[in-house]
Amino acid sequence: MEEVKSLIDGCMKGERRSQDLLYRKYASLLFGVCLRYAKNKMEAEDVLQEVFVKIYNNISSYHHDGSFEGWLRRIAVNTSITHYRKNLKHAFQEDIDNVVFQQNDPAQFNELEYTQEEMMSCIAKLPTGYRTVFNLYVVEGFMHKEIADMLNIDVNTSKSQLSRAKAYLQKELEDISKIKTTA
Amino acid sequence: MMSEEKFYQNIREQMFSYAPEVPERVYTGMRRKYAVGKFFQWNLSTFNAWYLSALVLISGATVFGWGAQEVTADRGLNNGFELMEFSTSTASVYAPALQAPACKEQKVCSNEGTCTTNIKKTCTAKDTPTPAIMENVITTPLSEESIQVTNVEAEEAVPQPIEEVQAPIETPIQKKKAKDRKLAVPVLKDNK
Repeated sequence: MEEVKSLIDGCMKGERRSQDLLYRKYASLLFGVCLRYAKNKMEAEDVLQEVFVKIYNNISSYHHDGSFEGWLRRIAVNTSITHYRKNLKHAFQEDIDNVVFQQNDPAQFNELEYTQEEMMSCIAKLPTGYRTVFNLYVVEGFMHKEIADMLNIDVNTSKSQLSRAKAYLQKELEDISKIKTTA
Repeated sequence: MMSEEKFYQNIREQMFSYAPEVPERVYTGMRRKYAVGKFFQWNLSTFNAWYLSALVLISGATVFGWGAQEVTADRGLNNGFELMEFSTSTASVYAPALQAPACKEQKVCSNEGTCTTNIKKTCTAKDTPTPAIMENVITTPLSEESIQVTNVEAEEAVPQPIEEVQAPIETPIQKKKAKDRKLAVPVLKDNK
């Protein structure tokens, strides 16, 4: 805890060493967040760079009153959403064509364990809009109203996109489990 | 089988702790972006784009300012020269410098067969081609003499009536110029 505090203080003073240490400590974690929202790895790398620039520039606004990691995550999520909004024109273009609507029985969830990589690959396959809503609702824990405000969409759109995203993800995970069981 | 809620709880946990390896190029790019951002940020304590633009503006203004001054100075000198030559009506000042052109040539022949050519060098402002810089400047007759070409009963050339010289009307701009060219006037007087 003291180590983090000294890192924060160093970053506030603009010390390069502290900035580098902060980067080494949290880059992987925040890269994971960026990857969940980004279309591909390259996009996630771009967003991560922006995230750290924002962190360095705004670290003085962190008042040690909450979790520092939470604060960093929030910056990463907000930057990812900003990035998503910038590319909003193209976000839903492929959604309707690519998604196979297959409503599975909600009770039929496989108990097979999935690795993080497998889950990530499934999430990455989701269309951008669905993926964003899914991440915000399932992983970050936002409500539909908040998601609708953040993404400038209707609450019902958020709900429908989440249900479609779930269906799509469930199907993808089932395919993986089928491969696993046959192997 | 597990419930939907448990399934997503599982996803949440897994995704929350997901921390893949970050390529080194991300750090380099981030540093560059940060440095560029800092450079364009308004900050008095470090050298940045604002300092640079101020420096460029000041140096540009200085260079062009000096250039303009030099041009003005050059112009001032020329004007002084103009003033010295033309704004005075003292013939002696510029008479040696200006060769009066032959304005009229008269040939008078008498009944006895002798001819006299009178080259009259009586130039009036009307006759003399005025240079461009002499606009609005009054010139006075330079000289009047007759040259006998033949040695037979030279006739005296009838002096041409001198055009009345009008006093120069100075416009406010000319007055201002004359003020500015104060340097030129003393030089003129000394030469006199």
